[in-house]
Amino acid sequence: MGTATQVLLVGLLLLAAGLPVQAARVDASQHQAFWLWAGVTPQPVLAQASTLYVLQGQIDGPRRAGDPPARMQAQNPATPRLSKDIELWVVYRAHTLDWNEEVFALLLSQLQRWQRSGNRVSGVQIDFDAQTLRLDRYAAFLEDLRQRLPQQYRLSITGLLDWAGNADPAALNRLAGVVDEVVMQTYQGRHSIVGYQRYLPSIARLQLPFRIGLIQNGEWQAPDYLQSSPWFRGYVVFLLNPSEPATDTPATRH
Amino acid sequence: MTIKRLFPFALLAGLHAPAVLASSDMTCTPSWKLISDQLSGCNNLAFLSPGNDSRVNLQLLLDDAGHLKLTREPLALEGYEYGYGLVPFSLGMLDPSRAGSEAAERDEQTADPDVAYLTQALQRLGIDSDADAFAVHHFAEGEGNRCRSNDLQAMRGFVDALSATSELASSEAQALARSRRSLLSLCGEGDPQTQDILPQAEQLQSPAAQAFRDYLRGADAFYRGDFDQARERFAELAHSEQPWLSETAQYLLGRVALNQAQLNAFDEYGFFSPEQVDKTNLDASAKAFEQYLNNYPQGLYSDSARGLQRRVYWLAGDTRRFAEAFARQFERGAQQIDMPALIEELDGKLLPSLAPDAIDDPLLLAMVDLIQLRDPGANSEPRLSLEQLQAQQPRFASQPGLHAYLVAAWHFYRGDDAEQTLAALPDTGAGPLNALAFSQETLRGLALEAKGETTKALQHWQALLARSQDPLQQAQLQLALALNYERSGELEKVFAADSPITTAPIRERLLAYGAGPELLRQQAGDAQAPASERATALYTLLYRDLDYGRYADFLSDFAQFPSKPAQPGQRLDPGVFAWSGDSDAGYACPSLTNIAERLAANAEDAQGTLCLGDFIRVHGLDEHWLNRPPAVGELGSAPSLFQGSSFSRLAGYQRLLATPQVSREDKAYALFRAINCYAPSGYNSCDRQDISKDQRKQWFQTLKRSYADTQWAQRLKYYW
Repeated sequence: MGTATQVLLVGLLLLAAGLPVQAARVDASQHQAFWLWAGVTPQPVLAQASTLYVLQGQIDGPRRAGDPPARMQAQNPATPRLSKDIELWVVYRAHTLDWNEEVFALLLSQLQRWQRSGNRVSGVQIDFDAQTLRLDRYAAFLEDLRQRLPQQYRLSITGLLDWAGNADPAALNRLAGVVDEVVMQTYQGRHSIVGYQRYLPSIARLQLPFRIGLIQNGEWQAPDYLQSSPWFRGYVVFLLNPSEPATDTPATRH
Repeated sequence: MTIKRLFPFALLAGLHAPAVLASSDMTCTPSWKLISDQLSGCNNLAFLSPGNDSRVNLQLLLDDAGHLKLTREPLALEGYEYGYGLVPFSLGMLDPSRAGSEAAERDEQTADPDVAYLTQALQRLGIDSDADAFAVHHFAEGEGNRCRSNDLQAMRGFVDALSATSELASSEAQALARSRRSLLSLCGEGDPQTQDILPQAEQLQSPAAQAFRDYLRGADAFYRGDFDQARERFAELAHSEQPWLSETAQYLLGRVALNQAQLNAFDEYGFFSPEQVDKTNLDASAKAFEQYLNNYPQGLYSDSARGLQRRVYWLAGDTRRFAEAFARQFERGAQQIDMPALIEELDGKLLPSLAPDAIDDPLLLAMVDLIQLRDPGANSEPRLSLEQLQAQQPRFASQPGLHAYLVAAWHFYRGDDAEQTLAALPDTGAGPLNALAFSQETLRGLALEAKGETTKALQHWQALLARSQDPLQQAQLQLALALNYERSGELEKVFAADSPITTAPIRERLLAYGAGPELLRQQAGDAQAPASERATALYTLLYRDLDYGRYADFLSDFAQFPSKPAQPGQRLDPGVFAWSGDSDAGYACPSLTNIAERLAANAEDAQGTLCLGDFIRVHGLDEHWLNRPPAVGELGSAPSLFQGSSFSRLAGYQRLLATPQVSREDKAYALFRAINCYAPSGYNSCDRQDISKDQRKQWFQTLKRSYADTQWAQRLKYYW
């Protein structure tokens, strides 16, 4: 292929990708998968949801060896009772990976309760900010959790943009063997991460099923190559309360 | 609760903490400043500050009131709370973890004491039990579910009552105890059938046994969710001659009504819908708990009944009584109740609906006022006016100092008026520095700083440090002193031998961002300094020498301070400057010292420029975080004391391209690298220049046409 042709191709690619990117607002009504977090009032847009990620518990502590065991705090005032049409993921926010037996037992107990309340529980999502350099340890934790989960449940995790670009590929591949999907967050607090675009090429190269996590009313401009990744499974929108003052946290309390 | 998201660079940046980060739930990084009026769960201070998480402010206030002991040793969680000292601290770090006492209670290695107790108690009744006979449901803290009480504690109460009831034949007691054990697995529909749980009627002859069976029928119905049936049984038993049955039934009547009241109160998403609460049953529940507590103020279930009363108030939307109940409960003190759980409950249930008008308790009111003192956002009025705050004075009658502090804080955070702040602050005298007194004195210091009275502020902080015995306060005062020295350009005082500023992150941060060459050399060579501080100083010194084009200094500094192997956990490794060069990429580069020698001789040297670029590229040092100081107000935001301008490799390539005497090979490599600055995302990753697409295209075409015979032209297939 001659030089001129290659330049032309790249030029088309650039046009298609729309550089410099004109950011578009994330309109929840254009989506069908959502996170429902504690303190966020359900919105009418949920009526069109086909997939929901509902925060159920937060796992904290121990601080160091010898301290009290990890513990789980409920984040949801009551067990949801959703239509069977909705694929439901029970989300656990983890501040530690040092889970004790009690926490694992609790998680399994809750899955059973959610299932018995008539929900179609698809699986568990773990929301943990694993440092890029420690993904290996996270993978070991997830392998253990995977072993404990009954077969019918899938395992999802949230991922940081930074992983795609900077993590050890071996560690990422190890994750790929354990989790059923990873949802990469493009936001921080209430806002899309400035310059999220620069991570997208590496995300598009992920070799495991992934979704892109967006924040309601945040920014998003999809690059074309995303759709062409065989691993791309769509979007999940993190819902926010509409009337909140602009802070870095999405809920009104504290 | 809530979310996070780490700006990814911060992971790699170590010390760097972008100011936009903050919430209790994201990956926390510390923000080193003392003035904060936006919620940041990651960055709490040791005084009553609007920016603190309200749960921290509440704990400070409760600590003052003697109701709670705030931890003085916030512990950073390795892995997600990175780079902290004692102050600031994240909410998680403050978590007392129900420390010590519970650790002993819940030692996982030993058997559950309830299981051991019940095994023995059942043995005395003639029943053998496997350990797994006591399988119960598991619930998270704060997880609302009536089956929570279907636990081993409840079973102990029942079995103890059986043992204490002499009228029961041993066969009756056995049948009843077995049945109670079977009941443990019950929670909702689809569980074991009633007839498989309850004892056969013919096994029970005595009236006492039948009464206990009625209780089991009621409990079975209750946990199964058949509330009408449960109410019938418990209403009868409330008049039982058996004291345990009578008390338990009276308490459970309240719970049955409460469950009926909230039957439809949570929507399909589990979200509370107040209008769906059944008021009739709610009233019945409130009356039942009140009645129970009247009859049994120190009863078996008094604490639970009080907790459920709060739930009644919450469901009823009665925030006034809800708040009162919290205040009463706090006064019972940490010995009697699970204070952290109560604070979480308040945060989740009371705070969302809390209006200042509904609160009479001064501590809770102060907590809410501090929330209202937060930055309301651009062009918005303060959420609490000065007049409204002043009008609260009667409610602070028992805490006049607290009210005065809040008024002063209003002037400082919302009025932006340091003079008024100082005028509103009462004299705290020389007594012990509790949280309130420390808050007042901190605000006084901040107001002095705001007025520009730096010296007076310094003396103020020093005097406070001499006065305070509290590790948290001392840590915060170290930060105050460091900020003061930074502002007055006296960084060397931070590093003086007698400096009270010992917090490693504070010292290293100042070295990394603000320190000039002399101070860096001093600390790099200070044998008394900790290894990581010396490494930070040396790394910063060598990096800035290179970055600012001080190549001769680099060479002498590099020679003078040999770097040691990096310690685990050390963030900056000066070892990178011992780079021996590289030709993997096809362009041969000598060692970094050799590169520096070439550039020291001629700062425009082509190979030196290209290879310095490769050193930066290979080590990922483009746009180094050392060159991105934190936001104004944060420690480290003062400009670097190094003179000159920072090196950009892209600018270096551009200079070489414009220099006629540079060789073809070097020019081709410069083009190749310049174009690659935009790979693969189309964003400039080398510096902050905005190079037009046309320009990048032109570079590409130039490389392809004018340097077609070079390996660089052949290797590059695209531009971005």
